[in-house]
Amino acid sequence: MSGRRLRRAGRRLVLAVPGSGRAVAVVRGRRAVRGLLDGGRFDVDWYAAQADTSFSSPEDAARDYLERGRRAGLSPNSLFEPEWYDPAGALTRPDDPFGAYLARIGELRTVGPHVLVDPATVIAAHPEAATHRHGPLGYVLDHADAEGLAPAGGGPAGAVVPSVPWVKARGRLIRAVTQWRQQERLRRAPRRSAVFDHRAEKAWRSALRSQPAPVAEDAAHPVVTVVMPVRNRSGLMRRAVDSVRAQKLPDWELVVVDDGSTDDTPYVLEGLAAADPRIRVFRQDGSGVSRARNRGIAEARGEYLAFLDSDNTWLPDFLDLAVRAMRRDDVAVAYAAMQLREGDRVGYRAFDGDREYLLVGNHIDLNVLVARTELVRAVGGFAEDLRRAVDYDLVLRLTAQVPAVFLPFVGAVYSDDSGDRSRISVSEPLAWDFVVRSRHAVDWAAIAEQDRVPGRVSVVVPVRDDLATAARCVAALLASEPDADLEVVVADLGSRRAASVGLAALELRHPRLQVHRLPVDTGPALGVNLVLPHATGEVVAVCDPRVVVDGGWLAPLLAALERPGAVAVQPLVTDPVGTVAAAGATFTAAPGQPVPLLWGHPVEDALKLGDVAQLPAVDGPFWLCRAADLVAVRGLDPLMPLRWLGTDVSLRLAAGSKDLDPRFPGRLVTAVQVELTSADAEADETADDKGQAVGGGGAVSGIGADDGQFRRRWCGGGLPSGRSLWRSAGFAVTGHRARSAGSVAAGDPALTAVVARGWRAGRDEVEVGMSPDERPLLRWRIRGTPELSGRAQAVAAALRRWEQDAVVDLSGRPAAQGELDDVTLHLVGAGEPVPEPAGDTPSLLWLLDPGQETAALVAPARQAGYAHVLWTGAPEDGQGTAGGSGTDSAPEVCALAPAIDPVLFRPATADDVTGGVLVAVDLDDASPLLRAAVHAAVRAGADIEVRGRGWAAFLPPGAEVGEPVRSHRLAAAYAGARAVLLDAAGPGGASLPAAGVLPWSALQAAACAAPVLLAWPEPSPQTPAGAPGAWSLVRTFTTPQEAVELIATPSQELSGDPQTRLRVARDLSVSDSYDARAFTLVQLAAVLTRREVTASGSRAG
Amino acid sequence: MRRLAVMAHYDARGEVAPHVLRQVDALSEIADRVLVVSTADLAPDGPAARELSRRAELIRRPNVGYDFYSWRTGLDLATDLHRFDQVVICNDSCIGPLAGYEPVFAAMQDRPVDFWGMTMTRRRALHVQSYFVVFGRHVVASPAFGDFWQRMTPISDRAEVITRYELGLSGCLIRAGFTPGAYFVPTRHDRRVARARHLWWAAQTLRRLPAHRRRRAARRIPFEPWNPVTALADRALDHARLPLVKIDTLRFDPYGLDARRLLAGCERRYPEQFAGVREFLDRTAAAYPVRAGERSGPARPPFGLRHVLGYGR
Repeated sequence: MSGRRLRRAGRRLVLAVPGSGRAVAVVRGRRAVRGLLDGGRFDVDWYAAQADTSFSSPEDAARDYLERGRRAGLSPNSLFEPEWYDPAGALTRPDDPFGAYLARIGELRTVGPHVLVDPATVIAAHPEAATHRHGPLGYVLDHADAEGLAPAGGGPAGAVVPSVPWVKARGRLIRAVTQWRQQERLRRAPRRSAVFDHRAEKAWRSALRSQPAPVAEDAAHPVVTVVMPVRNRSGLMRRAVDSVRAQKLPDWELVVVDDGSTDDTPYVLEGLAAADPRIRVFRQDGSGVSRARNRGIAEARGEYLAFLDSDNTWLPDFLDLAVRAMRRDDVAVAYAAMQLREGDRVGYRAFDGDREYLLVGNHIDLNVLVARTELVRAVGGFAEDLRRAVDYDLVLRLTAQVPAVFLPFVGAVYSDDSGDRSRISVSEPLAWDFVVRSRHAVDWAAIAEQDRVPGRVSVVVPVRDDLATAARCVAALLASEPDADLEVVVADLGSRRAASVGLAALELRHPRLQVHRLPVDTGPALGVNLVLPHATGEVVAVCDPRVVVDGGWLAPLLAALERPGAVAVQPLVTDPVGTVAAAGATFTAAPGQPVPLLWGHPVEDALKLGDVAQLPAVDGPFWLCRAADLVAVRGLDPLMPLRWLGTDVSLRLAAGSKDLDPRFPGRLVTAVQVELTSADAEADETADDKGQAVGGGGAVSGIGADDGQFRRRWCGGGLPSGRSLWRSAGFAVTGHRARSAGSVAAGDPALTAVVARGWRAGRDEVEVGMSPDERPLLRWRIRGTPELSGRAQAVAAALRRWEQDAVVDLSGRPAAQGELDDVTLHLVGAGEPVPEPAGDTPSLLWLLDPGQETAALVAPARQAGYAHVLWTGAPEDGQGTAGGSGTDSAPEVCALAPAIDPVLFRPATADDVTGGVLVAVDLDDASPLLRAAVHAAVRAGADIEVRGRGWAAFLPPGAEVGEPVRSHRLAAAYAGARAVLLDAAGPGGASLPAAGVLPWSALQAAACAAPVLLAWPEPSPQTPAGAPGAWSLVRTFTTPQEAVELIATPSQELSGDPQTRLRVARDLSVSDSYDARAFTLVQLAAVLTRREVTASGSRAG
Repeated sequence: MRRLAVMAHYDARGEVAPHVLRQVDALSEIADRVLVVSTADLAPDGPAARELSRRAELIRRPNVGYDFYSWRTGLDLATDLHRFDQVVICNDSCIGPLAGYEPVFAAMQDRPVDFWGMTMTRRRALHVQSYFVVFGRHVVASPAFGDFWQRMTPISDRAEVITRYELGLSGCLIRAGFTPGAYFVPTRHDRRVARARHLWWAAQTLRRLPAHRRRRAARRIPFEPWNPVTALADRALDHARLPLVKIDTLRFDPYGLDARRLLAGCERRYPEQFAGVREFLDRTAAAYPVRAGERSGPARPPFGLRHVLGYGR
């Protein structure tokens, strides 16, 4: 019997003894505790700060973590946060993430467990960390102490930051987690609960029994005035009034203020008032619930005020008990518990919390609040400019004067009938709560008095939960402007623990970063307002964390802000596929709804606006203004939907004051030469359309706000339409449409403009422009996938050199604006499906990669309606153009030889050639012949430079493998190489060698005047097809041995002297460049458009 | 207090019964304006029309739409409803008031109700029984009241009139927030007696049903709310606590509680009010055939139950 079997049998024997299972569990638990505490891996102080508990011993803390904490998502060590390396939880065992991380170090060696731990940096500084039994993290935990340095380094954010003293890091992290715990206590307070302590209520009631019953001092002054506003609630209010009349306390008066009811309410009230003289009815003309309550307060004659809504009912002893208790304890403001009934469920609003809790969320219901009348009058009653949360506002103002005392008895019952659409809680957004909180939590006067640092720019970034996105954004902001006086202020909108602590840790990595955590997610607007006191710059920028900036963005924006009259500036924001995500807001003529300028257009359209354009309003995820101006208009408005936050604030800035007159001649400028990329614009759009909180990835949210608030404020007309801007970009606005069907269904369509090309706006002016040499001047839309971006841009640039108007659209969206274009050119790479042609516009399909000219692709493409299908291969006439093109009989399926970008791939001087023979492909993309050739060359010690992924494991030990060459560096790498080793077969297949056509990469290398060594599995073609000049720089090999010999051959013997190679390269840039192919395309399009013109009879040219 | 009374009248013979004239007289005592809308075939210059015209404003109209359409016609023609503090609608289906309307209106003056009748029931839905209803001025002015009469169309089916208009009137006013009330408030003893009488009626009704319908009906009928104007009709004898006696109760004795005994008691107690009633019942019997589900005439409980359930105990 093997040892393992013996052990297993022994274990079974032990477990067979009664009670032994429990003993085994105890032993295992002790062992686990000891294991956790070994080597300082369990940080007791850190864990205690999260668990909000003090432990009697480290063992207790470790046991608590193992039994509860790890499942609750708490972290055992301040340098371990699974959310950092595994946000989706895919790598980590949910029941023991720490153990799993340490156990799987083999796989995760390169993955940092925390924003402050970069394994590569650790291993670089301490090579022995690579072999530590628990990996780099284990090494750090074993060796970091108060004197040592925390292993800060480049993390997933890609930034390099200075090291941080460990003691400082740990202290900051513990402070951050302590703050999180304290704020969580405020946030998670049981403002609503399923149970109520009725026994305590009973005791409290019996203690109050000895208190004398409240009696009015004289008949004209009742003890309590009950104020009830009512509007169109005739059928509902009877129960509320009856509950007042049923009060045990007899000395009350009910002041009902009818706020302009149009139903039977006034008549019912007339009957009520006639039946009971204690009921007084007043009427106003629908001025709002606050004004109605204020009228009631003004009419009140009682010593105390209580408020009852027409859809609530009091229990009979509410007033009696409340006034008894208030008189006994000399209390000015008190509130009781409220029972909430929703169907069969019963809950309670019964929380005893002070103002600190109130500032995080309201727990006092107005219907159970009783306050001294003079105090309510002293604080000014209800705010009449609020449409919701007026009770919250009053409570905050009252508690700013005196504390509100909780009376532990149930005073009222609230039945949820949320089907009632007239309820304010249904008809008005939750964001009013944030408006109230903004009023009470932000001291605008103090912020206005603050000293600001001249020239400094404070970028405020509201973040919720998405640590990786925030880290990327912050790192990019700071790294892109290393020399500018720039600070980043992150408003942490109540993120989860791991994200909050991670954000706090970022502060350690970026000295110019401040992170301020807010207890709850209050939406980005209030978040920005709340951190504004911490921004010290004289210019404030508000930035969505999904925005990724590149260098040089700040100076142009600041220069634009300096222009006379400029009050806010924004850059041009593109989405990841290069279409316009934000270029400013324009407005419809009536009722003045915002329309994003050039949204969804190719970026080239926006560039036609010029370097700087004057906008009606800014729009988008990034904008700047002067801090003093922003403070003067009281910051961002939490009521505004996220996508119009900047638009609203810029309009208010333009108005110059709190007076919201949009006709004030302010100027808003966009600096279009700066491009930012909103990394998640598509998701943003989708979320917006669904009417959900924006930033589904958790970046920021727009809680409760809606477009109605924006329309209510700004859509009275008079907003500038911005049509001149559309004209500047070459378009005429012909109408507007919803961005998507979803937004229409939501009843609040986000609009986009329907535009026509300037020359098509008038029917009589329809005409295709012609160049002097009789080429049609067409607008081309180059479509394709983001992977084809480089080639699409090259084709577009080549078309522009032929005086064409070419735009690149890699969005993949249906060509909604297809009518703007004369021709659509779809580029399709290897393995990509053939897209649908664009609407009525003549469409060309170019199958870019060899091997695509199969019937499987071409025939369906023809059937789908493409006017021409072009595939990459040897053209029949050997000229690199479609046979017979330029005539009316142009073939509909034809070949184009591969071509190169003459701007990117051009010859270098002889001095640039410093390298050896270059191999710049990934192992996975290399053919077996190329792999074997490289392997043989390395083994033979040839002068070869291998760059690409996967080679390290393939080549013999000791072989040097460089980083992959990025596409924009490829030309320089080719130009600097002595020769380039390439595959003849591209990723699309092996048909090119058979046809004798050179692949793209060989042409590119040849255009850089580099000799090309081509792995050619078949005998050399008798008659090389296409690009005959390039063939003079190409040598082929069919075996690894041949390759080794060729690599050893001097350059001049390979492909002639440098002058010859230069001449060949120059010839290539003419004959086999995109310019040449573009000319072919223009010729094809000329025929197509002429056909179109003839067919329609309206554009005969 | 200014009152308007609109009374709906119908007589199959084209005459006016004496108890109707007495009711018009009683209305005239408490109302400033009394409109009698008659669907009876009254000769224009006949004695009946003359008698009525002498006591009230007589409006004649075709016999369609039952009493509700008569009230609507009367209210339409009154035009100046806002001038009255109360509006009364009633019909001629009752005998009374047994002690005049003054004590009734005086008693209702202090009750916190917006509209009221002599009796209120929860049969099918809470409603004020429409043979006599009084509306406060604020109710008459309300959109709910106006809309109810405005939307009314004549209906020729009695059951539908009850559903849509009798129940509908109370329903729409209650939904609008007005409080209903009734002059007759049964005591606990009344309720006990009424419950027992209702069960007695249910037992008889079930017995009459074919066997296949009986089981299902047995789960419903005994538990339905009782009809106060029938179940407690003999409370009229108790110092006129129920001041009106429905003629149908006397004619059909719906609960089988011995209506003959009730009529005899009433004649003894209120000889002036009941003068000519017996004759009226006899002469009009042919014109009021038995309706589906109702009894064909007065009946008596069995001897053992007579003193427990029967009228006039």
